[in-house]
Amino acid sequence: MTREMTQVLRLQWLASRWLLVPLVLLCVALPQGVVRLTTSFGAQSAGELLSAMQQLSAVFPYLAAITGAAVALAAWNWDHRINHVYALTLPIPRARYAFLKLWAGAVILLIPALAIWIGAWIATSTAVVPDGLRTYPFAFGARFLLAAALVYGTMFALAAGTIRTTLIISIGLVTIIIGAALGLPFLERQFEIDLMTPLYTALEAIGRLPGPSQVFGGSWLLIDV
Amino acid sequence: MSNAIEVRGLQYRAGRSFSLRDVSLTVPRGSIYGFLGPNGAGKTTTVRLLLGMARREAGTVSVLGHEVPGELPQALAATGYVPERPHIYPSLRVDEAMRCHAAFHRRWDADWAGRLQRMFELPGDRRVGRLSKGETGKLMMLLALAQRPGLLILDEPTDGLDPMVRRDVLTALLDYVSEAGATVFISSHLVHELERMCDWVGVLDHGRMIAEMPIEVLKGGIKRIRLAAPPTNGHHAPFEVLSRAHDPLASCESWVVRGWSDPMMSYFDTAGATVRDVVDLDLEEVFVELLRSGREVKA
Amino acid sequence: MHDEIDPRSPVPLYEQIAARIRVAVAAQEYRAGDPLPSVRQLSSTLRVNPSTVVQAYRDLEREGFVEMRHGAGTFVREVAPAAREQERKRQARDLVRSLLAEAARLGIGAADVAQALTDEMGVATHE
Repeated sequence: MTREMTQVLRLQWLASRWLLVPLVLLCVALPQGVVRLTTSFGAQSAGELLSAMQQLSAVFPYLAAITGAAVALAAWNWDHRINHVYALTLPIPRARYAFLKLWAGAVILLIPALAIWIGAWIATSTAVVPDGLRTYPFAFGARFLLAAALVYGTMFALAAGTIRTTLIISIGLVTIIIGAALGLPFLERQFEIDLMTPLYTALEAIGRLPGPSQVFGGSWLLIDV
Repeated sequence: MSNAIEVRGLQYRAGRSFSLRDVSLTVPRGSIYGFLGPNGAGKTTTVRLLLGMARREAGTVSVLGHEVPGELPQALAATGYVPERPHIYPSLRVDEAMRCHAAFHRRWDADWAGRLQRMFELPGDRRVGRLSKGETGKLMMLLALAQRPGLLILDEPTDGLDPMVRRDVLTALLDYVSEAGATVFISSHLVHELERMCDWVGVLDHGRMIAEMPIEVLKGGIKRIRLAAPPTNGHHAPFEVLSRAHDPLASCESWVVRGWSDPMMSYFDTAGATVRDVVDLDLEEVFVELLRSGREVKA
Repeated sequence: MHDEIDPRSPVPLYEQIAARIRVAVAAQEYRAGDPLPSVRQLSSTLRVNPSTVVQAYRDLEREGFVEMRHGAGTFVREVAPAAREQERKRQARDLVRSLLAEAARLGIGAADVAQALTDEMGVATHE
């Protein structure tokens, strides 16, 4: 069992390592960027800093989701290219193989999680924090890991299917996100209706739904009261 | 467990036109079984069903005594597989691919794998995706053999390989078979190659098995008779006429018959024909005649 | 023994292998006590079923040309010169028989065959 686990982990690492480079860079750099941007404008009031932080921190849930999805897709990428034939002919039950891959991917997910923790720690320990506010690098890191893991688990199951289904789902998700980001403001202007508020309300509601998705709805602030 | 592979009444359908109907196979242990058939007959599909990569609609499949797919991992643990198209992760290096295979197969023989690698001249640091067709074929055979299986299932293992590589691959295969007494199930349309090594032959055509028997029985039973002044038909003949054709090189007819024995010459004497020749057919000719006549040949 | 054996020939493969070895023994290419290639070696070199080689060796053992020593391999036996002589004669007969059969198939008369034989043999002895 351990030999197989080690080999699956090794394969997953080989398949994911190039993807991890940009992810790790982003995870280390973004917290820096966000904190610097919010604290760079001289002595701000706590309130101003907080509102800036809230705006900019919107990027982190997306980063967590992308990280989780990317690690999941990388997990199955190699198998897809050969139509799963190699894995299917291994003398190991399929469910166990998928399970080993799930855990191997989870181990690999720790790398960007560690990167974000390091990034958050560096960013918050070098920031000039106004009185009354505190830094939450660890809570931030934990939330990131949980959110990424949630997306990872979901995408892992989806990506295990045929390459066509995975592509359709992935492209669909990306299109929806980009389309919403670009199209909604445009539609709002055209028809003078407010679309963003209901959307955010909906997303927030999903975030507040009891269960794992709450992790997305919580506080992504590195600096808070 | 007397048979390495036992298939009974296999049914499978894919799309509207392709199906396997009532396919039954028996591969005796220790034999080298050639699975012949024209392209599109369903050979690769049958192989995939043997390995549990497709779901059958009816029938039973048993590999090394294990039900497929019920006990699939046990069957796969002792089965070496060489597919038609490369199935190894293309981004792996040759060394890594061998290490990977070793990790999943308990009986992996590292020494022998190393010797095969040197014999096949496979560079350890080259990525599998960058290997030539011949090198890929050799690597797949290496992996299948070094795991020391009791059964080898090979799907067109030498198709598209140049003669030198084909030789290397088959030499290594037979070396293992004679040392370990393994069973080989080899599907191919390169009939001549199979002719040297197989002791059993199964012929699949349009999703149905049309013959399965020891190779000498298949070849021995069918002959080509060259006739001058042939009779108009083969009625009341003691043998079965599979086909008749005009021989372009001589002014005579060529009959392919089944169930011939020399005393049957008298049949032609009475019919006023002269037998110029009674010729054995090689396996490829037998194969072609079987397919052409579309008849079932019973051993 | 790296000559190609012909699976398309009506002669069974095991018989072709046995025949080659008989010729070699009769011509003293193999001497008494020499080991024949192992079943494993020969089957992989010739790319034939190992049982084919085993059958060839068994036939040869039955005819007294070789002996199969369990675990050690197959070895050429001491064959009396008379037996070797007889084997050579037998092979010559087989050659001639197939020549005559082929000639008959092609419609060549016995007289022509005999003439060609004498001519060619004359040429051969002068070389």
